[in-house]
Amino acid sequence: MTSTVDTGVPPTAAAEAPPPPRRRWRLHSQRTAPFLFIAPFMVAYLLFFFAPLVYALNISLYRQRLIGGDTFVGLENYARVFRDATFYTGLARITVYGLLYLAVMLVIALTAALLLDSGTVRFKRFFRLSMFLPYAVPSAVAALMWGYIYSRNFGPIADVARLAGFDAPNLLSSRAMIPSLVNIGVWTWVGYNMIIFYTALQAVPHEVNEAADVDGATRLQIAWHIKLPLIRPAIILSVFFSIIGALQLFNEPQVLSAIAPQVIDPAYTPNLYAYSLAFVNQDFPYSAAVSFVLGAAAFISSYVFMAVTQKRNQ
Amino acid sequence: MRSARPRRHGTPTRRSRTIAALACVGLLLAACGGGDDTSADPASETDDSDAAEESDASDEVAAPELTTEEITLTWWTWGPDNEASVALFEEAYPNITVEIVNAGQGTEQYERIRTALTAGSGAPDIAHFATANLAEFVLRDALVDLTEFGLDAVEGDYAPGAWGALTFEDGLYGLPWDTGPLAFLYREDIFEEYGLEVPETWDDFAEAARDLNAQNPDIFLAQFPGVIAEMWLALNWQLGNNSFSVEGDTVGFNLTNDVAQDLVDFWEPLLEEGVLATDPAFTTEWFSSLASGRYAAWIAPSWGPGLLQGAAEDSAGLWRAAPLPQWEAGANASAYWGGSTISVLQQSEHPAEAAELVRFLLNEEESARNYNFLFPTLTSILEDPEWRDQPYEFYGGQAVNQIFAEMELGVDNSWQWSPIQGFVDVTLNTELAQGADQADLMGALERAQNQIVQHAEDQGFTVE
Repeated sequence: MTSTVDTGVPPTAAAEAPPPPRRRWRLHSQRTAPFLFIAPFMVAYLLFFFAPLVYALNISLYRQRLIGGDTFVGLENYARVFRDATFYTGLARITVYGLLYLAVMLVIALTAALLLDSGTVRFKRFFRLSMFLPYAVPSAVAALMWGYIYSRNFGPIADVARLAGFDAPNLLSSRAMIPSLVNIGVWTWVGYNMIIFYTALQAVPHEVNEAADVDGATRLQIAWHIKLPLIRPAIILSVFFSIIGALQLFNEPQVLSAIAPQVIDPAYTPNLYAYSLAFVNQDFPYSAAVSFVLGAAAFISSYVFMAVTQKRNQ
Repeated sequence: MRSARPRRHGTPTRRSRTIAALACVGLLLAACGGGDDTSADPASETDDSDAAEESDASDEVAAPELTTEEITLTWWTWGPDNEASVALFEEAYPNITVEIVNAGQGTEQYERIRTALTAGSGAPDIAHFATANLAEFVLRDALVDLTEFGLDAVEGDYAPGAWGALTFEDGLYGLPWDTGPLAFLYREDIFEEYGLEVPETWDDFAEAARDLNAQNPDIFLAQFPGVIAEMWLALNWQLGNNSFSVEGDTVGFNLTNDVAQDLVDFWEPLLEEGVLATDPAFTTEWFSSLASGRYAAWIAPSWGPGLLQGAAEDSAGLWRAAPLPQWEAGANASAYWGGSTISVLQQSEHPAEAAELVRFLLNEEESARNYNFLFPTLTSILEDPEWRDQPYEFYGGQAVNQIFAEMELGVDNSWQWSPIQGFVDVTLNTELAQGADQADLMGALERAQNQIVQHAEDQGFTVE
């Protein structure tokens, strides 16, 4: 309890008074202590999360013009978002991206986790670490690296294609771009998700596996009918994070736009759109409105996903 | 002309001497009818200032009184190597301290200035601007008209093109720091190997592009310059086609006019035939293409030779410089890609001293010579043999500066930038990248024009 004084908070009057109303001292600190412990977080939370949010919400109700200054326009910016075809195109694009990414990532991460868990893999530690490693590479760096690998003139894929006598494939064309982006996303996140699944698999009791073994189930059957259903919460968690991640897709297209500007326009993803609206168009109010709508979209889609999976759980 | 010397009163100080020198140049100009040969001569400038000091009092020149109090001026810039010039200034004005602050490159610094404008305080005394982005801040009333401090008098010291974009309706909002006149850099070895001639005209250029790509489909004469917004605008500029017009709150955009159509008609066939590269610029791939000989030439601004030297070391000694291809043989028309200025901000509490700082940094040859990496704008430096005839090993010992200095003189000074240039550049870049990819430039320009007009209207401009 003396930690209240140790935190550097000015001692209360009660604490200063030497004669021992010890009970009062305790009561008092019992009431204040929780707040003092929460305070560092709360201050940071209010200052760096809540305040900017309120600020942005306020901005989004105005129109700022170079000629004519600021005018209050109420919800007009939000109405504009819902009429904005550019915004919808970006949203459709990341929906495709998200679905493709989820499918590929889940299959690879689950397969890898099951293989690791089944004990058939040699060099288990090396395998686990090397799959996890890309997660440690910052996404901007990863995008730069993949940009080089995809390069049609000087990249390794192009070199191999040329050696084999083919034309180098254009992996940055408008059709190939989404799969190319998915590839970068999968490469980055598959190890991370594999670790989540693997950890969940570790928690599956041995008895269950043994019982299935005794009943004559094959390894594949055990994986499909026993293990996967048991780690369902982990899979749901991973999908949940992926939905939010996909909606916020920004770094990879931002970096690749330098080498494929003919494909990645400033509104390629909604997040990129919000960014260019603010820093290219100088339209901070509309950018804030787009960001809030995007945030709402992330909230709704995660909520719907959770509701659907919860219902099936019951 | 010597008789037109201004006379001043008061005690001779270094400051009043330089101001007298300024006025001298102005009067000389008036007397000579704008001839830049006399005024550009640094020697005659010094002579005049000395002479002015000896002459009698007169009210012709209003020398602004500079403070003798201890003050500090702040300079926001993202340029390197400014300490030497600032040290010279502080030596000349011991009571003034100059603080150099790097407030971020380009857009980042502009954003801070916008914030300071909204807040009503926090802006520096003087700041660095890309000339192309100046119009917005003039419109926002952020900058001091330097004619108030008589700085319009130094116009004749500079290359005419450098001055053009700094004036708005008789006001002067900065002095030229550097510019980026375009010329033509090429690989002599490749030109020799494939029997190409250095193109004098754009028709020669098109012929060489077809010839080279026919002989070797893996390499290109050059990248299509239009994938860079600034380059596409420069091509318009070379033709004297002002892409923007600004008059107060009224702006005009001429991205799809007849001249633009002529440009499209010239470049589009080359794109359709695939004889020019359409890769984006400044990527690793683009630098590799220049270093490895995948591109045989680069239509480059004056800051290009230095950049290339650092980025394509393997090809040292093989590059040469030549004038920019022309639309009419024998002409010498060029345009800028890039260029910057230093301006005084309205929020400055010491505008007269700040204006003097700008003048000192950019008009005193001694300090202007310190910006090693920047292309000079003072004609006295442009014409100085020591700078002009300096050989460069990377270019086989060629005096590259001569070529660019010549091109500098061919830049038309009537070009104006728009007050929404950041948006214009990004939009043009995006649309032209697509247009080059699909060999449909006019379609791209129309899309860009529509978006830009829409944006200008959203920003409250009247679009003509």
